[in-house]
Amino acid sequence: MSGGEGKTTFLTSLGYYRQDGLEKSANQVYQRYTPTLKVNSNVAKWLTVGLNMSMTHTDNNQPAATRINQGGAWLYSNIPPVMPVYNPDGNFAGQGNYTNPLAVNALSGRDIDSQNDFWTTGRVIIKPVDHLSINVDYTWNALNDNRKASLIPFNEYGVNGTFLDIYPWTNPSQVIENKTNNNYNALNAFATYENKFGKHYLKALVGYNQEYQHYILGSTLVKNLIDPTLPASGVNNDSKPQVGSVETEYALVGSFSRLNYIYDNKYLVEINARYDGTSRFQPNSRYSFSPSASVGWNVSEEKFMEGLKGTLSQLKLRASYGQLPNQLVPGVGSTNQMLNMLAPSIASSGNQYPYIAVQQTGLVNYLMNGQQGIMVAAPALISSSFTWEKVQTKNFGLDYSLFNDKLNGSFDYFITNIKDILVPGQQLPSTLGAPVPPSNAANVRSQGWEFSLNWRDKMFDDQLNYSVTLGLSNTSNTRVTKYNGNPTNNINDFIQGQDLGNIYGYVNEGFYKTDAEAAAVDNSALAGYKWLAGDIKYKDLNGDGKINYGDNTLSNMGDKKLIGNTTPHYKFGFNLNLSYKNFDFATFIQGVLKQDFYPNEYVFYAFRDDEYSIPSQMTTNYWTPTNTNAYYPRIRFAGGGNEQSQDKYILNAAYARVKQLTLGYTLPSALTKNIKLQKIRVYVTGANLFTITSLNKSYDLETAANFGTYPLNKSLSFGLQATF
Amino acid sequence: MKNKYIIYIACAAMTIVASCKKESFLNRTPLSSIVPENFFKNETDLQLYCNQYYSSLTIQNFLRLDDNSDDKANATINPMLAGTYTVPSQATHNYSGGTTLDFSPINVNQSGTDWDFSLIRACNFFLINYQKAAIPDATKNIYVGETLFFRANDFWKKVKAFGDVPYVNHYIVDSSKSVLYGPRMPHKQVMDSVLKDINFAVANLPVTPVDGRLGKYAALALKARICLWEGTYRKYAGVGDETIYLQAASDAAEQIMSSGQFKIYNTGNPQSDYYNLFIQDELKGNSEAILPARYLSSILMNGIDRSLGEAADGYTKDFANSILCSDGLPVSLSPLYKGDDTPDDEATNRDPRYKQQIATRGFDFLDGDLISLPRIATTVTSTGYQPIKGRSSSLAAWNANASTYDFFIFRYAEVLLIEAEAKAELGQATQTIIDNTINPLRDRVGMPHMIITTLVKDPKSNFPSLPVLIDEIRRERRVELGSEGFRFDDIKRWRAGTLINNPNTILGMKLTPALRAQYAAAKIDVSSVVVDANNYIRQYPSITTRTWNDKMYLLPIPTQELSLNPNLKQNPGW
Repeated sequence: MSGGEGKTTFLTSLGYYRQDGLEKSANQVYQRYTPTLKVNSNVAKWLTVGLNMSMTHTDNNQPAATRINQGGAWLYSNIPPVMPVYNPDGNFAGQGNYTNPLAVNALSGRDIDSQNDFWTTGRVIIKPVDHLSINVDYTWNALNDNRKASLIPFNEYGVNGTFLDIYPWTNPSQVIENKTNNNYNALNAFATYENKFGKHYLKALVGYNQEYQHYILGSTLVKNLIDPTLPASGVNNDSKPQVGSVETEYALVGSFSRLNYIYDNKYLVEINARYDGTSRFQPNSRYSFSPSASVGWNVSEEKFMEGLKGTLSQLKLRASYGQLPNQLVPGVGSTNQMLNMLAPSIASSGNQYPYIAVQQTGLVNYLMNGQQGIMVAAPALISSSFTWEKVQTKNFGLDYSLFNDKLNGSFDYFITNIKDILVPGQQLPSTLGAPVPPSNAANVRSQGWEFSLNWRDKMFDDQLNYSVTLGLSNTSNTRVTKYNGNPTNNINDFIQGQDLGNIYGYVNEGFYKTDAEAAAVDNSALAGYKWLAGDIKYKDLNGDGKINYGDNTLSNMGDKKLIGNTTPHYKFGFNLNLSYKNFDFATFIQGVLKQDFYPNEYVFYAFRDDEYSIPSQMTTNYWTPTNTNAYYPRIRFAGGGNEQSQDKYILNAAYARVKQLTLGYTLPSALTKNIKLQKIRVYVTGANLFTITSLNKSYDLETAANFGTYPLNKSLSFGLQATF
Repeated sequence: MKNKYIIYIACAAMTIVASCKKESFLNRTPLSSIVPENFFKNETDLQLYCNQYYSSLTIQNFLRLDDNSDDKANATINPMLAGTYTVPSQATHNYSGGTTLDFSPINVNQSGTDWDFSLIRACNFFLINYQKAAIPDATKNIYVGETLFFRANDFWKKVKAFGDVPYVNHYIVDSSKSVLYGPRMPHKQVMDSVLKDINFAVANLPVTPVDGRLGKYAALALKARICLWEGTYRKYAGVGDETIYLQAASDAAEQIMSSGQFKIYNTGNPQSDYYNLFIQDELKGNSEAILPARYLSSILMNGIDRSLGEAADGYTKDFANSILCSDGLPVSLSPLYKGDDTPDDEATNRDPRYKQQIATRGFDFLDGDLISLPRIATTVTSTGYQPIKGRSSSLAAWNANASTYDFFIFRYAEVLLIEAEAKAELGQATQTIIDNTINPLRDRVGMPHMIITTLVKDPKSNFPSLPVLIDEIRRERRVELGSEGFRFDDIKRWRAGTLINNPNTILGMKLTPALRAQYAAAKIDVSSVVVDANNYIRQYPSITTRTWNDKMYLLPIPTQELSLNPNLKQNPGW
């Protein structure tokens, strides 16, 4: 709802969303409420004040099974197809260690999470004199989260309802409560001066910002509830309830300035400078100065281009060089996902003081005075100095617009150097007794290009409006340009001069045809069991008569070689929007054209770890004496020898997916005016409806190829939009 | 009017400039974590710090212990003894910076056999900090004693595993290059320092410690264990200076014995006392427990009872043969021995410890599920000689991670065996010594006493050239401490690696065609079980014998450590 009178305007809205989970036994419900309010007032000609307030309230109610690692992700691998869900007498089937996960879902208690996320921003804009504007805003955020999970014991029954035992993993009853309070506030103040002197345009900006966050976590764990059907932490019979807390804070300050100069709308220059400080580093290394500059040339504004104005309405060449600091190194903020996995951020809500050695506390699995001993450990080693990671980007690009702006787009080429990445430094002998502390010890480099094209036009007497957008980009593999933490060039770590995401493995030469052929090859380094017909025959690349991995280093990886890289290449996105009379249609397709994926887990390999795992359907095409052309080798329990990384099982993870497809219809206005409405539109939207990929449906590359995460939903929704 | 704005602007500009460097805003220190500057103030702090060491104690929990010796042949062959062990590329670490330390059976015995120095670092960090506590020296020294106990234990484990080791006895950081890149210290020199550490612990730990903590007698038990190991190692490896260690082992054992605090657990039931001792819900207060690892319902429990039933483990033919007959004579000499054509025959007229650590007919596997034929070809047992120490028939203990059976860390019986062996090695074993050490163990199970003058050399002895007394003391130790994890260490100190060349160490029970017929009659498929020409189960059908290589006395150092520190040299043969 929006409105206003005179100098003051307001906008308010309320949103509600509800989604049920995928597992019926879990009875999961997720709800979200989103009220917002925006007020803006031009108090005086020179003064504007504004206030934005929004809240997001979420409720998630799911089985507590996830607390004992037996939630949704557990289901697919733990329901033996021969085990019924229910016994004939109505009790859940399953017993002991291998309980029916559906029973655990349904009977073992709930995990209830309730969150309030409040954002408030107050803003003052002062225009004291012409060309000068001062903007000051202050933001508060309060994020409060209450999570209560209960584990409730339940009985297991055998034939004819005989009581077997209490399911052990949820016994005794317990309640875990976590309450977090995350208070964040930020101040932004900047002044802008903007003016034109003839053909000279000048804009200058100087500003300051600061951020502060205070995080508090309080947790309690009580066991032996007085009434297990009343999972309240205060109603317990626990002689030693557990209480924990974490409290941290961090602060950031930064000042920044920017200067823009344009001559005659042809030549553009921009210079930026930042000076940032963080509480996360020690005083002598907590500040970082980051300059950047860019130049542009509007070629189409030149006299010699005037003749082309009709076709080429805009052509602009750009070049820039800049540096940005990152103190979360290389976690949030670092765009390189792979880097994040290899060197996770050293800062988290639980550890905001990476430069201060702290002594962790915990429980020892040893009884003293009848209770588990509580310990205070030795502190980790801390490097004597470390500072901000720096992301340096060079960019060359052009923007173009043709045929009366019907066709427009841009092209960019960029080189990114990430320097001083915080990773464990030079490797040290184990006699140190502690992990090598992180220091600014690694650099990486990547380059790539990005291209976009948009065509917009009308047809059939302007009744049909359409626009098509295509974006295509590619980034090279990320090359490690400096890293001395891996002197032996172990292929499971960063290697200087090599790319992140490299997959090393063996060359598959089919299956051994006979037991004798298998016995003749020394495969003992891969698996100690007796190799047989139907096991995978790897190529003896180094010709030493044995199949092995050497010492897993670049110079001696035995019979392994580089067989792929997990970096996605050629990402594209495609948008199509159509409107014809009262109908509108929109679709968005995205995908990746080239990516290697190596699935090394028990969904891909039947019985990978032991005989207890449940094989997935795709693993049924395995070798037998009568099916020698199979995709998979002979079935083994924990057949590690066949499950080495190898070229045959590097999968092509390219895909294209229709992310969204919307068809709408707006009711004729003659009709809606009768009921005093401005506009009524009905629509149907489908999300993730179609996917083209050669990958088995057990995997989804959009969810990081991880079969264990909650699956992406295919959804169809119907909606109605009314404007009063 | 305009002047006013200019003042506003000036104020804003000044704020921006003034706040460019705001140290007070940026100085933030931990609000909910302990930092060393504020710790080590009082006795509680010292105690809480020392608690972290306790997870490195070696527990005798039976689970696949002694698989790496001539005593057992698990379904999974031991790679070291099979000769397939390869030099690891990297050391594995157990950095204790986290919360709950891993006390799982897999890790027991490992902290010293990995090239890992995190416990040593934790000890050394204590030693540069404990003086800050404002408490009397005697109190401080209790915790210094605990620290040195664990440092001694860890370095001893490293010496057993690697021989010479870098002896890091002070706190180092990443810039301590001379230590990090230093050479190894010779075995004997390290052990002399270990002895000093353990002597400090003995002198300063209290006689009656807080429940669960180390006391003087635990320190003496460790001292006896370490000194017997080192003394016999020096003697049989021929490196000299063994007497001082053998004497120290005996002295420590005698101090424990003369304290009068400990006694062999004996309720007068020779057919069950030994078995029952290892399935006790409570070992605190048990007269044989010098230091137990305790478990209590809903506080700390374990899953060992069940794991033992599913470990596919089994004693070897050699171990079964080493158990005496009930007349005190070995199977090669005793007229009571009925042969091994059936499992029932083999168990007849034997030292009662046979039936109390090997499952025989009538053993209750679980809640009334009685064993009739040995459960070969299943995860219950590999060789047919199913180990049952620590295994009960209780359904409650079988439930996942719900067992509260306690384990020994130091058991008095071991101390008696140390005394007997040390005295025998010193040539001072009198009948009185034997009566105070070996014979109480025999009394518990109703076996005839060991009488030195009547001992007859076993013609099938594993140690043909050894004096009969030492030979028989070693047999007593092997049988009494079966499955408790001592055997490979014993083999090392006796320089007796060639024991594993004996084919009997990879053979199981006798599976005659007649016995196969009994399995068939009971509809149990044992067709996959392979036997040799004499019908003994061949546990590893792909080999007929194992061959000892002297390099196996020491573990190899991970290759990466050698490349990181050129002053480290690989152990011989690797």
